[in-house]
Order: sequence, then C-alpha cells, then structure tokens
Amino acid sequence: MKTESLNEEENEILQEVINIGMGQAGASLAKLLDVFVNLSVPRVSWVNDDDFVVKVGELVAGSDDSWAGVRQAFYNQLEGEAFVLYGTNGCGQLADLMGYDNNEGMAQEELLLDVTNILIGACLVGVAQQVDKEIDFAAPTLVGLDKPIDDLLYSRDREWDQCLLIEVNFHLEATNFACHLVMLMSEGSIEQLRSGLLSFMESY
Amino acid sequence: MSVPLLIVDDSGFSRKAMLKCIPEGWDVDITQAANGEEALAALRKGLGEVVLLDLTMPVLDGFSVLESIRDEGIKTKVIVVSADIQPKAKLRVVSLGALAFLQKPFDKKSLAAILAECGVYSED
Amino acid sequence: MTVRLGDNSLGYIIDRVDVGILVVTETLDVVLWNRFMEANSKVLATSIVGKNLLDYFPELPGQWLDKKVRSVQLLNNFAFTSWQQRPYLFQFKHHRPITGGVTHMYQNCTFIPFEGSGGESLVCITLFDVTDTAISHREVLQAHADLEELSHRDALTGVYNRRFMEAELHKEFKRVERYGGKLSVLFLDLDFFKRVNDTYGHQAGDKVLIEVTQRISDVVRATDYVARYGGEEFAIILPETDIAGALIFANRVREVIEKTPVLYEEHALSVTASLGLSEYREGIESYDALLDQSDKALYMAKKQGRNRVACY
Repeated sequence: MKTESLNEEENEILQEVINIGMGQAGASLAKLLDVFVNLSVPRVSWVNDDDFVVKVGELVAGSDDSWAGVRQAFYNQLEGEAFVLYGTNGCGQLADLMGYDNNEGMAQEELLLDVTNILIGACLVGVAQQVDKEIDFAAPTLVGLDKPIDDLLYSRDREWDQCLLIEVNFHLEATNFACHLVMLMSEGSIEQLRSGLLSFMESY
Repeated sequence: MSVPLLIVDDSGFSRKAMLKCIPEGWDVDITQAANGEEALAALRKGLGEVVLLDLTMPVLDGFSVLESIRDEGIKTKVIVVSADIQPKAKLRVVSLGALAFLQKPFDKKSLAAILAECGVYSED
Repeated sequence: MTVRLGDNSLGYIIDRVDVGILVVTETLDVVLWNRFMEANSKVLATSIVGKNLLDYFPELPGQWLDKKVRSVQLLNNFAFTSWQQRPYLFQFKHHRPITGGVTHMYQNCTFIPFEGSGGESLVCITLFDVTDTAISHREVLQAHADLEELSHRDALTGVYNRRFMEAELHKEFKRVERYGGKLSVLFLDLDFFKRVNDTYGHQAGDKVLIEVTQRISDVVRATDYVARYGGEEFAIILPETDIAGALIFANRVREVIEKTPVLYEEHALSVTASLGLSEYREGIESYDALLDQSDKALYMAKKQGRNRVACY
C-alpha cells in the first residue's frame, strides 16, 4: 500500500505543528546554553528513499562542507528516525557554550549526543503533543564526525520507500554554531499524523 | 468605524486560524500578509492599526518588521504571535515596540485576553 | 478470573529487575536504590537512601552529573549516556569470567525526570549492563583491523603488497609536494632468480624471498615501507631521505643480501640483487613518474652487470 502524500492543507498544518515543535526545541537549547537561537522556517517535503541523501544535501548546502551527524530513533504512534547535522566549524564552540571545564573530560562526541537528544526530544515531543500522539525515544548514536554529508547519510538501508522529510535549522546568535534537524517518518506514522493534524485543525 | 487589522504569517493555515479566533463583535477590516515585506507595504498604506505578527518568516522576519516600524515611525499596535517561545525573543520584541506576545498554539480565549490586555478590543 | 498485582508487586519488580535503578533529588540525595545497585556497589539501600550520592561515591563525575540532572529537570526531557562515549557511570565490576580485556561493567544509562508526591523534582537513573555488547563490539573492531592489516600484506613474505605500497607512496608524494621535504624510492630485483626456481624448485625460491625480506626488514627504519612489488621485485619507500642517504642505504641492503648465502636443505644459495634509486624533485608530476624513474635506474643496474646500485 502506498500512502498518499499529504495534501496542501495538511502540509500547511504540519508546517505549523513543526513550527511549534521547533520553537520548543529552540527554547530548550536557549535555556540550556543561555544564548539566543535563531530559528528558520521549517521545510517539509515528501521523498523517495533514493532521493533522501540528495535532498538533505540540498537542504544543508552551503553552510559547511564537513559535518558531524547524530541519529536518534523515535517510536510508538509516531515512528521514524531523526538526525541532527552539525557543521564541523561550529562544533568546537559547544563545550564552551555548555560551560564544561576540561577536568571531567566531557568529550565532544558526548556533547553532540546530549544536544541532539535535547533538540530532537523537545521538537518531537512538541509535535506529538499538538497532534495528540504518543512518542518515545531510543538513545541517540553517533553516525560520524568530520565527514561530507553524503558519507554521513550514505548506505543506510531504510525500510520505507517513501517518507516525510522535515528540516529545521538552529543557529546560535553571535557564534558559528549551527545545526540542522532532519527527520524521516515512516508511512505508518503518516496516517497517524494525518488524523492528528485534522483534529489539531479542528481545535481552532 | 472598522479597525484596520493586519495579519502577518507565512503559514496560510496559521492566518486562517487567527481569522477564526478574532472576536465576533470586533469590527475589523482585515488585510493578510505572508511575509515581512508584504506586511510593511500594507502598513505604509495604513492597513494595520493593529497587527498580529509572526516572527519566523521567509523574505523578511518579524524582528525586522518591528525594526522598520520603529525606524519609519509607523503608528501601529503590534501583538507578536509566535512559536518562538524563548524568553529572550519575548524581551526582544517588547524592546522593539511590540505591545504583547502571544504564544502559539493559541485559542479564542487567549487571543481575546491579549487584545483586552493591550486595550485594543474588549468584549464587555 | 482477573489476576491482579499485589500492593507490593511493583516495588518488588523494581527491586529485582536486572537493571540498576536509582532515584535522586536535584541535589543528588538518594531516594531509591534497587537491589542491582546494592549488589554491584556493596552499598545497601538502608544506608544510602536519604544521603548524598557523591558522599558515598566520590569517584563519580560530580560536576557532570549535577549538570545532567539539572538539565533533565529544566528541560523536562529524558537524557541518555552510551558506553561508547562514557564507558560507565558507576565503577562496577563485571560478572564475566572471560573478560575480553575489560576491567569493569560497561553501562548505558537513561535519566528520567519526574515529580515526587510533594511536587519535588526527581530524576530516575537506570543502568543497563552492556558489557557483552561492548566486548563483542571490540572484537568486531579488532577483527576488522586485522582483516584490513592482512589485506595490506603480501601473503608469502609478510611485507606490504603493491597496492598498499602505491597508496602510501601516493600519500607521501602529496605530502612532499605540498609541504616540501625529501622522498626516495628504491626498486630491488634479485639477480638470476629464475635459475634458483629452475634448479632447486619453487620452495627454494620462496625460501630465498622470505630470507631476503627478513634481511631488508632488519636494516630499514620504522618509517620506511618495504613492499613486495611482484615476483622477485621489491620496492622500498624512504621518506625524509635524499638520494645520497638512499644510496648508502641501498648499498647496505645489497651487501646484506650478497654477504651470506641462503641455506636451503643442503644447498647454500648465493643471492645478489640489483637496485635502482631515484628521489623526489620539484616538477615530478606524480608518484607513478617517481616509480618509473626508479624502475629505469634498476634497468641500468642490471645492464651494467647486476649486483649493484644505480641512481636515476
């Protein structure tokens, strides 16, 4: 069974729901780091598995050429996989921003995992709340450090032919730190999402 | 006489949602804008005595709209309606001259309360 | 008939589940400490509950833990730690007789914020023993590394193979091209090797190749690369070496091969080698060109009567 892509209206509602999730994620990050986070307009598209890498490459093009990536799976009524991609240039500033001194050796990798967990958690919990669906998270895992985007996302067998690709980016004011949150949702989740979006709309 | 009300949001859904939540008794003349530039064009024509303004938008964002309003000395009452719920975002829009901040998602009640708080419209 | 849990069932399950469970306040005072924690830490719940965690475990990363607990509460969001970045939170012994070289229990942890009955901000920390996963992961990595190493080696002699040598030469070439420095390449071919094979058989030939490789390996520096280029031909990359230095080295190699015959069964086989040498100079376009020069020098050495070194 092929899931129909969302219609224009559903797409608009989804965009707004993502916007709210992104706002919550931005606020969480701002709280954690005590900085101002510049938010972008979320971008939502429908992709074939084959297009995924190319599409994400287009979305993040220009901001950096080398990336660190962390993935985190989510499951329950909404299920899929989210990635946060960090431009290598801004990564180094993270430890300073987090206020860690070097004594306890908070490794760069662990910081990236933490920030990823916070962004994905806040954003998706925000989305799930709006559409009134349950969501849970697996632990985040590192996909790679200091790699071109194709290498980070390449050769990952995904189970779904078609998926919803959502991208938002966060830039910390007065720093080089920027990251993109990209998520893919399974076809089964799209149906859940669709029903949730309709009731979200009716709540207005 | 009806009040010129300007609704600024890049999301068509969000504009529709705002329209739905406008109090029924409020006599308004509504103009819609999908980004900051459209909003400024409408404001310069006097179409926004009251503005409901989103922050995160393409072309020109809400912060820039507030700056232009201040720089050009446009007389208007701005209520920011945004999902950007950082405390610093609220402080920033207020320091740029916005009257109030309404957090998304909102409903009829919360909009009515903000309108009353700003002295723009009260149902009583 | 519906089976129901008793009043104490949940408490019993939490206590006995094969996962570490503890609950702390925002100041890291312990509220709950299950049996897994007791058994592994040798600290009883009756002693630690109500006390500060760091007082009992001063070796814990206090600043980190404090920040973690606070951020989990502040953001009201689960947090995770993985053994791959932070091998363990509590320094527990593992329960494996075959250790695979590990000295402690690897742990994955989850931090779960929630509210106590009086509205207190609490955090539940769960600890999963992932020592098995860590050990097998390590073994897989080691196997990968071994395989990769094997794929770089010549099966008979154990020195690098041609493919790996060319890749390394390519890197060295790029390095001197970009940053300057010296680089020489030496080709070595055993003289009249076919006669050894024809007269004494391939096993004798193999013995000669192994013996010669050993002698070369004994005289090279740790930074040099020795490779079997094919048949009875060897290549040696000499980083940070100019042609004068390479010439001294080449003659030593020639001498150690010539000096002592290779013993095979009752035969003493005299072996000699011809060597061709060239160095990197500005304007050489590629590592191929450098190889080609050394090959030409080797040809000259052969032409001039063998058992000698020629420079390009």
